[in-house]
Amino acid sequence: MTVKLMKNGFLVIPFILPNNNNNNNNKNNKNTTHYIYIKEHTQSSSKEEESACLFVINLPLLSHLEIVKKNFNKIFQLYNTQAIMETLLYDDEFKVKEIDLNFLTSDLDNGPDKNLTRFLPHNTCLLKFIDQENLDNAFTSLKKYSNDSNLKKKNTKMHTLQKWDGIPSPSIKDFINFYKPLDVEYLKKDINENMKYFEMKEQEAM
Amino acid sequence: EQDPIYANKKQKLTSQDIQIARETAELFKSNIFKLQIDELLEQVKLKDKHILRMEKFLHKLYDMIQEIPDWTNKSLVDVENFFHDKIVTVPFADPKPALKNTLYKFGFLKPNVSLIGSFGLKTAIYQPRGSFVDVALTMPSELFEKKDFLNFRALHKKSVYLAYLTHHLNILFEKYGFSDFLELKYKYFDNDPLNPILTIICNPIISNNSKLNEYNFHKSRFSVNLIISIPYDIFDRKKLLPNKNCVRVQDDNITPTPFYNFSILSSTTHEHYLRYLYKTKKLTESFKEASILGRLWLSQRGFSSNISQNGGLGGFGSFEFMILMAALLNGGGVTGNKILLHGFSSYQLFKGTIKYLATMDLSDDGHLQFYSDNSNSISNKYIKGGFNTPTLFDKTTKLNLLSKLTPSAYRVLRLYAVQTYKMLNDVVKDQFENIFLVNTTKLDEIRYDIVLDFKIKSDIASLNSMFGPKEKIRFISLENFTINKISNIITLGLGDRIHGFELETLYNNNANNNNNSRTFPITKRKYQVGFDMVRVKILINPQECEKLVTRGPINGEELTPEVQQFREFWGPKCSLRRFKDGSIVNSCVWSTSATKPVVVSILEYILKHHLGDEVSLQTSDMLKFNELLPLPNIPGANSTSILNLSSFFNLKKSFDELYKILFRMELPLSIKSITPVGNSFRYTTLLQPVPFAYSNPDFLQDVVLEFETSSKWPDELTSLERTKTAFLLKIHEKLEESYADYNSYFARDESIPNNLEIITLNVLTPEGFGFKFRVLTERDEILYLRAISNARYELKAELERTFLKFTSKYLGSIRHTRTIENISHSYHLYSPTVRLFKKWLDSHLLLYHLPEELVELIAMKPFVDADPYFIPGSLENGFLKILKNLSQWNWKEDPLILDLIKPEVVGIAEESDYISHEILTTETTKKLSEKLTLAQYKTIQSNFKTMRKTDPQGLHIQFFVASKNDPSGILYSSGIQLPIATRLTALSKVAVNFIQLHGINDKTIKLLFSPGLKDYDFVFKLKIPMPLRLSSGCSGEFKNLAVDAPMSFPKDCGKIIEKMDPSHHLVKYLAKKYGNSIIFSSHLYVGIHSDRGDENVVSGLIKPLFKQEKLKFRVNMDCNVEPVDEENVKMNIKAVLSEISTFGSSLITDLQINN
Repeated sequence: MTVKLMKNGFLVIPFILPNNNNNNNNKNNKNTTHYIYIKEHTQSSSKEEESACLFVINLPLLSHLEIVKKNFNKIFQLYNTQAIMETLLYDDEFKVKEIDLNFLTSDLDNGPDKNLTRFLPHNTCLLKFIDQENLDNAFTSLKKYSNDSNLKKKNTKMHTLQKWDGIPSPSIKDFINFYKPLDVEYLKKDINENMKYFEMKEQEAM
Repeated sequence: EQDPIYANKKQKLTSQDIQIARETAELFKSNIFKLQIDELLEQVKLKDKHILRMEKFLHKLYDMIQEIPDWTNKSLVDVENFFHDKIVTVPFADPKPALKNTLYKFGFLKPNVSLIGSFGLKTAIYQPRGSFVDVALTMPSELFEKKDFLNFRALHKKSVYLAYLTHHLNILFEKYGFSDFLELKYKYFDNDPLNPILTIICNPIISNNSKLNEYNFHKSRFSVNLIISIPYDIFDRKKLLPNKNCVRVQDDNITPTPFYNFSILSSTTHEHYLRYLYKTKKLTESFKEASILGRLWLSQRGFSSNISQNGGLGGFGSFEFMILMAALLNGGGVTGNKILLHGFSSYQLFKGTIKYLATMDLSDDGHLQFYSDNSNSISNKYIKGGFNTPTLFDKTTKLNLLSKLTPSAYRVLRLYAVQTYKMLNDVVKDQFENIFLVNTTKLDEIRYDIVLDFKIKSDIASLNSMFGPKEKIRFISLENFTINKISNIITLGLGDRIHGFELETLYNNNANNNNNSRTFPITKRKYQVGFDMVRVKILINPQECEKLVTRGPINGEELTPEVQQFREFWGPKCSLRRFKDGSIVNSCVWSTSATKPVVVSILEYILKHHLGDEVSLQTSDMLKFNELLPLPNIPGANSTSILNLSSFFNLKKSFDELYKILFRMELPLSIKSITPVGNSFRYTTLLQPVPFAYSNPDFLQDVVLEFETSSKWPDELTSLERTKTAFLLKIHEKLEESYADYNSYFARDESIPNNLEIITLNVLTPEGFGFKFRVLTERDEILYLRAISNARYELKAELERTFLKFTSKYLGSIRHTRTIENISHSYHLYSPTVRLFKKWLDSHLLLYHLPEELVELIAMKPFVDADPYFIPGSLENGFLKILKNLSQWNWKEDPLILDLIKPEVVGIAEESDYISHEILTTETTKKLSEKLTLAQYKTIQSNFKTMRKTDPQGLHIQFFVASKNDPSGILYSSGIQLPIATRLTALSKVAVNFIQLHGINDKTIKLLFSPGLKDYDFVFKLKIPMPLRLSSGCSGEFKNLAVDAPMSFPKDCGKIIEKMDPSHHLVKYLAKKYGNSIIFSSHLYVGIHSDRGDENVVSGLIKPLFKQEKLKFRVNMDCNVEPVDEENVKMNIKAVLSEISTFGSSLITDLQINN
């Protein structure tokens, strides 16, 4: 049985992952399917920035906005729609933004209550469209795609799953660049600016 | 109001209070001990039904013996004729009597039968491995003449007597139907080849005759020994003193025959000592219990009453223990003062005896003289002046009860006694288990530091040629002679390089010394298995073992006997050396090696020198562990001992220079302290520090920098970290300005999770080392704690982990490094051992998950908490003990509490019961104050209990490892995932079982270090384009690669990243992305796991929850899933693997999926 809609309302959006040469043991693994789960984001908070958003679960690895656009657009084209995406909110694939230590340690910030900081569960994010109309268009196409892609092989034209393109393959250099020394001039500048900003905040607080 | 006088008085009382408190603690301990002892005694008690059945059989045996007809006045010819057509052979000792000069007569008259030994004394215990009921059959006096003690006559008479008895018992067993389940065999009593006895072994065969089954005593695990005794007063006992000659070879009546004399004399005393012990037992209520404790203590350490002249740890079994105890109940002190009192508890009797063994030298400095007939009122006395052989001399019987105990076995016995005495005085830790319950004899490689097999070629020509007539009468057997010879060579040759040793003869790789191995069929004259190998098992003295010079006597103008002796002993190796003080000394000079300890080189040389080329080192597989330690890529590494820390000292020197420079710098805030906390400062890096080896993950050594106190540190984290960086920038500038030899750069530091703002200053020194400076301020701790209190509930646990990490990295690390550095100078093998352990962990992909401090503490246990073994004296021993400890550690129930102090001096004289008095030197006071106190120990235990209350199964924290530095016990072990902890335990269990089963050899060692990649769900193989072996400071096998070894830093600091491990960051990001569902593992030290250092693996273990075929679909499940039905999903492992393959495509070469 193929599933197109989860009971809790999430649409199942399958994509074929591109092949790679490493899976020697996995030769018949040519059509590996990845599943994204989406649902229209209902605004629980009154945040304006969260309007016109899709709640997305399980984007493939390293999917930044451009990649998401590229691949979703393929679907929109398939159904002759256009939907303009603006940004990915709360996308924190490597869990580096979850805890803002500075925010939690600072007594200077008179900003929002520290307990009310917005967070989403891991492996989820919001895909923001420029407006509700664009969101609706997108959602309709995605729904059709989800539906059609699960029709098995009867309707040959529509069943073809889209390929998720653009997962980047970091080079060796990318990996060793993590060891790269920081640029001293940049560091100095950054520190200077930050210190000034801090002093300013401190003065404001007084 | 308080009376001032009273107050004064009260103050005075305090020291007494302490004294009383101490005594109470002692008493309390012995009360606890009493409970434990009672339980133990109950467990080992013989079952009544077994005793009854045994007694029934013994009665029957007595009756049967009465049926044997007398047979007297037989010549040797008669004897030969009689046995000529019989199954039974006379077990004559060598040399067998010859017809032409054997004029004395043989015969059999009914013996006086008595139960002796522990069964007779009722001190026997149930031993699952089997034990004996000793029955003495005393030959009637009529069968002997006064001179029969000479020239084996008495012994041969005994042998014929035994054979005649055996012949008839064999017939009688047949007659009464016992032969169905009873078996008769000859055996040497206590392995003494002069003393054949008959042993009756009971098999579990059920007879058809139910009456007969009542005699089957198989279940009691007893065998019956029939020992032929000589009447007590038949010979003039003085003539059998150890220094007398009783075997005349030609005209020689001088050469002492101590072993022979003992054999004859001890055959006359079986009943005598039974009476002596029985009387003592009657007078001393707890004698029986104390005897059982002694028996257990000895057997757990491999000691028995067997002779140790042929190897092994014999000569001191429960019989000797009881005799010593009995002697000490009637004196034993230097003035004849009583060491033990009849009213003592079993614990006190045992402890007193152990203390006596530990503190009184019965071999070189003095001996104990006692009287075994209690009618004599003279008390037993310790007499100054020893015989260089252990001596417990009975003035009554003229017998040295320790004749079977060789000086080398005695040395080991004393080591155990000293150790046990210390354990008995331990008021902090419960040592009951270590004293009585742990069997230390299971694995020689754990018990001894070095185990070597020396092959002795089959004809042993050189030994045989040395085994002349005099040697034959002195040593009786070639085996005894060989063991004695090798013992002397080892004692002289290794001197204080070792603490003790044990020898064992082997034949076809089988040990000769098992309790039952010296039985032989009644059809044979003697036990005939020879030996072709000698196993040398050594306890190393780590302080002295690797010294390069063996110093002999000073070379004067005249050739003194000492010089002559030294030169003869060492042969061509001996040379003259001038020492700093100008003296010219006869010495031998040895060379160190990275793979072979000096002790082994000496042994190889000296055994060959004395015994000829027929002796060769056969197996030294244990030494192969040395080869497993990565060899540093520096000149002379091959000939550097594993104990040599010079590469670490070089790094420290380089740091000291930098330290001075920094302290001289003028900075906006002056520096308060610069504390090195890197693992090289405590000698624990897997790879030795090598200049310019910047691919080594430990290349940059952590240093914590503190400035003087200031109230101006910003009150929020980012700004605080940036301010710290501003200070580091100043240092960087000054270094650039004035110290051109130094290079420095900045890097982000990820060691504290969630704090991405930390920047470190990495300084490269002209000597080729690197140091990573991080700044600690008094504000840090406050801010981390504030973050915990400010955070929403779900994040608190994570922030607590962040705080713990900060504490361990910035604060704990200082204490940890200081402590380990400090004490490892006293535990010489610690550094190589912990380094090898880290290699083992990294081979199995576990080091990636374990904080190195935790690893170092686990590795410290065999050193600071060695009981009941000794402090490791070799790399392999230390390493195997770590594995053994890990394999037995039930971390759900037991905390690991370490007292991180230097070893207490083993000086026995220092040991005193009166330690609470003022005699304490400042040194000992200091040592005591550093020791964990009972209160601290209890606090730690209660910390553990509290932790386990909330986590009884150890799902969150498995390893509780506490010390004075960290009473919480969880500083380094929180955040380890359960499957990793269980894998560590499982792997060590497998390793220990494996070694127990297959021994240590090339194959097993290789397997020990091979990762079980099939245990993971999937494994990616990685290939790194640049080889990292040499640039990690690890010497390579391929010379042509040597050019890759960096000899300097690149001019542009940025270039050093070209020789960094890219796989580390791949794994890091995979763990961040998929860590909720998959546990990733990888080698941390890529440089050492392949020839070029360019291979790695990433393995994945899917967490059990995500292995389910159906999972309810939830928004927060944080897992890449595919739908199963409308409600359920399962992990989409194919997609994950595909993603990883793409992500790591620049490194990945292969994927292995295991089902």
